[in-house]
Amino acid sequence: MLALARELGTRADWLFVYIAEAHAADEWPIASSRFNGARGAVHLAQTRTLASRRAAAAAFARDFGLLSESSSSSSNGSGSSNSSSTTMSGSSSSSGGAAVTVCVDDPERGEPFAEAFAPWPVRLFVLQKGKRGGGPRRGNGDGASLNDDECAATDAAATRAAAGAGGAAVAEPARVRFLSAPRNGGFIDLEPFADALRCAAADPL
Amino acid sequence: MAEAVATLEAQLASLQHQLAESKARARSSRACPLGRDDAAIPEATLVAMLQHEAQSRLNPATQQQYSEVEAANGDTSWMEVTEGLQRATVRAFGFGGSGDLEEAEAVAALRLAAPRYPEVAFWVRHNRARRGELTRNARVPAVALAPLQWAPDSIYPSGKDTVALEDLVPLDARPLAVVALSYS
Repeated sequence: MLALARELGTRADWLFVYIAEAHAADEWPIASSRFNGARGAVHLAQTRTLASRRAAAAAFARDFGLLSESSSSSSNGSGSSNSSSTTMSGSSSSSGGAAVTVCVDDPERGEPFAEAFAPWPVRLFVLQKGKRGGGPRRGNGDGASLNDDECAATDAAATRAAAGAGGAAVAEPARVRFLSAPRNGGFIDLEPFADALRCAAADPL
Repeated sequence: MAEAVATLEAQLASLQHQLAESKARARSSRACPLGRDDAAIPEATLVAMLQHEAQSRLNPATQQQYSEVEAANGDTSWMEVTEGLQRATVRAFGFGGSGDLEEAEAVAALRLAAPRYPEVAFWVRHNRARRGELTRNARVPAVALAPLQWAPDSIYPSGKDTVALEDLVPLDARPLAVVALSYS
C-alpha cells in the first residue's frame, strides 16, 4: 500500500480510516498475528469511545508507518494501546509526496463511515471529484455493484466522450470511482484497487 | 393395429416407471438426513451444540491454536481451526459415527443454526461483514470523520472535531484512496 502511495506520489491523496476491531478480544477473539508484523497476536478490546479509538489509530499509524510524524505512544497493538495516551503531532502527513490523512470512525457518533461504506471484511475505495459535467456515467441501476472491480478508466473515457459532445464544464460532486469486492475470509487483493487508482490518477476527469 | 397400441402402452408404462424411479433417486440425493427440514437434530440439541462450540472457540487452547496457525502465515488460517472444533463438537454430541458424510451434515446443520441464536453464537452477533448499499459512481455519502489531532498547519479550522469526508477529496480531480483498517 505504501509502495503504491510512493509510486503515485502527488497524483493521489490517501485517507486511512480506523474502524472498529473486527476480532476484538471482548467480542470475537481469534488471536491472530498474521498482519501484525513481529508484534505478536492482536489482543485489543473493542474501542467504544472516541478517545480509545483515536489511541488505537495513532498506535496503528505509528506501527505501520502511515504518518511520518513521530508519536509518543507506547502502545503496540497487542493489548495496551486502549489505555495509552497517544499524541500524534498531526493527522496529515506525506508519503512520497502524497497527502496522507488518518481519521477514525467515531463510535460515539454511531460509526457513520462503517454505516455508509460497509468497509468490512476488505474494502478499498477510490473517491474523486470531476472537473467536467456529464452526470452519472455508469452504475445507478445498470448493475454495477460491490462485485464490480472494473477499472474506472472506462468511466473516464465515457466522461470524455460526454464532455466532447457538449457536456457542461462544471465541477461534479465527489463520487465513488471504485470499491473493492467483498470477500468471504479471503485475504486482501490489492491489484484491482491499484489498477483503478492508477487509472484515476493518470486520467483525472 | 391393436398390437401396435399395446406396444405403445407398454412403452409408455415403462417410461412412466423410469420417470418415477428417476424422481425418487433425485429426492433421495437431495435429502439431508440431519438437516433442519428433517428435524433429525432436535433444536435443543443444536443450541447445546452451539453453546459447546462457543466455549470451544474461547478456550485458551483454541486461542493458542489460532495464534500458532496465524503466526505461521501459511495457507491454513484460524478458519480451519474453527472447522476442526465444529467437527469435534458434533462428534461430542454423537454425530458422525457413521462416517464423514454424517459428520459433514451435522456440521452444516450446526452452522445453519448459528444465525438463529446470535445470543449464543457471538461469531454471528459480532460479525461486521455486510454487503452494504454503496455502488460505483454513487455520490460520496455525507460522512463526518474524526481526525487525529490536527497538525498546526492544517487547512482545517483548529478546534473542529470532525471533517466531512467529501472535503478530503481533492478539488483538482486527483483521486482520494480510502483504506478502512484496524489492528484486527
